Amino acid sequence: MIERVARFGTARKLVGITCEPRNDAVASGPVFLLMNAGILHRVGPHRINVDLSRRLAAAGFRSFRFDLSGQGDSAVRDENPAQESSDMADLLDAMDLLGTKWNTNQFVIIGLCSGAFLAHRAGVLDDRIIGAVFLDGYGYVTSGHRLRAPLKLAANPRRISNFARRIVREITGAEGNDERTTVIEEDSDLPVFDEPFPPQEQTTHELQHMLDQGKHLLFIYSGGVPEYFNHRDQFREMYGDLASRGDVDLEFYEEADHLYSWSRDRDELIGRVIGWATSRFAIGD
Amino acid sequence: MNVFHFGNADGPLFGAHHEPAPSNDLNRGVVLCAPIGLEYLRSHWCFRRLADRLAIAGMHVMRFDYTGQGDSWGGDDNASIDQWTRDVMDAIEELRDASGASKISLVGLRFGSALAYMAAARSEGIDKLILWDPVSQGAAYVGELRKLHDYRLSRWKFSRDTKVGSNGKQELIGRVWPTGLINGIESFSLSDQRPPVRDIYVLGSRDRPEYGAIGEHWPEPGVSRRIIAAAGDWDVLDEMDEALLAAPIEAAIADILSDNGS
Repeated sequence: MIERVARFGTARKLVGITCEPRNDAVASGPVFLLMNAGILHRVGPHRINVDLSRRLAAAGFRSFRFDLSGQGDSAVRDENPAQESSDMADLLDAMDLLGTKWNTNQFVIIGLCSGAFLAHRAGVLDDRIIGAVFLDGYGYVTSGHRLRAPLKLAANPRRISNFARRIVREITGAEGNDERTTVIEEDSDLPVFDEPFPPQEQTTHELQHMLDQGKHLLFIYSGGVPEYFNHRDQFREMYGDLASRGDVDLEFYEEADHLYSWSRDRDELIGRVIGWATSRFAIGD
Repeated sequence: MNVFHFGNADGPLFGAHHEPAPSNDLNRGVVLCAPIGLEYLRSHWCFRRLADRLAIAGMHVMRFDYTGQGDSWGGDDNASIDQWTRDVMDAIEELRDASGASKISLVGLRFGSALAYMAAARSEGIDKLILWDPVSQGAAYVGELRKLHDYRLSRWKFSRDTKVGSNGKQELIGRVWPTGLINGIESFSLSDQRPPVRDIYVLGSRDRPEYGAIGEHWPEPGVSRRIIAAAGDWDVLDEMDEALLAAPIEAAIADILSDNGS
């Protein structure tokens, strides 16, 4: 694996790391672009982008993890456009850089949280993107979600024990000294995002458009966004026949949290992405 | 800002050199020693702001990632106290070579303070050592990390087994560290010896008893201690994912290193 630091974009104000297999001869598939997750810099939550890029290299793929302008080590753009257009301009700059460096016009974009939203917008707009991995990307509450939500709440052992403790406290009048329990009850299902999602019809139409262009899409949801996604079946409820298309893959890691805080969850996630990449984008394509 | 890899070609480190304007070059260098694990992620933005601030004040500033952390080579298995201390020393040499600065100071945050302290003890000619919310006793620090790890587990709606098992590793809020590294952290004590540094400062975001104990038995000159109210609730359970923004301490560091606040 070979990593190099890259400065790119207008006035070379953006910073990223290219990662490629040691044997350049086998590195001829698409280039994977790893996006910022929220305000975290390019290494990602618990260094997941670094681990993923090095595993991709071991599988024969090249990748680029970088900071959007104003994040991590990248400076703010001088022209100071709106955030959305700035992010898109940064992504275009990255593809231009890599297209020249590696003589390629095929990219796969991987994003978590806000990175997934950007991946969606970019996938709609740019033909060079031939695949995308959306980690806790857009989701929409369905009737099935509403039905399952209280059932999941009732069936969760930890919630049952918390509820039982609360009842005991109320009956006995005990104040209790376990502040952590109180926190669990109050905030574990708080919404994660402030950014409003596009209308569901628009998202469905855009996904259809991407698939009609031959793009491969992998949707991965964690258990950390129960306010809008809580079951594998919900994907079909949201997107209908689109869910059955051969170029769509879905994973639901219910026991993983939004930031994949535990190493086993990260290992499983990375293994799934590598498996998808090798099955969808054979080296030499 | 220049960004690059440096150090051993078989295990390169990621570094960022923030340069002052030529007309404002004080011929001084500062190496920033980041925290480790989750605290590294929390403080990345704050360190970049601090580095920019110090460069504007006329200093050459080096930020870098330790082995197995951030964009540097290696993984958790490659991390050790000795390796990380050598990483700090490599960063000092890199900054000396890149800047030509005659005076080099070290600023360490949390366990980065411990690494700065150990590197200062093995280096020559370090001007100032600033210990920011320092980890003074490694065993207590590992205890805090375990508490945070258990708290995160307890908050999650599913029971998760994060015991790594018999392979000699422990998972602590996002990292899976070898037992040798954890033992090394636990055995660290900031009160052992005064490193050969001209001035040593302890900056705390709140008053903690252990800060008063740092250097209390060292020979003169001892340690300057300041408590500057700022973010830094490292052991507060609900703050563990918050990005650090500590402008008052950044300002104090700039003053100290500019000789305005000593």
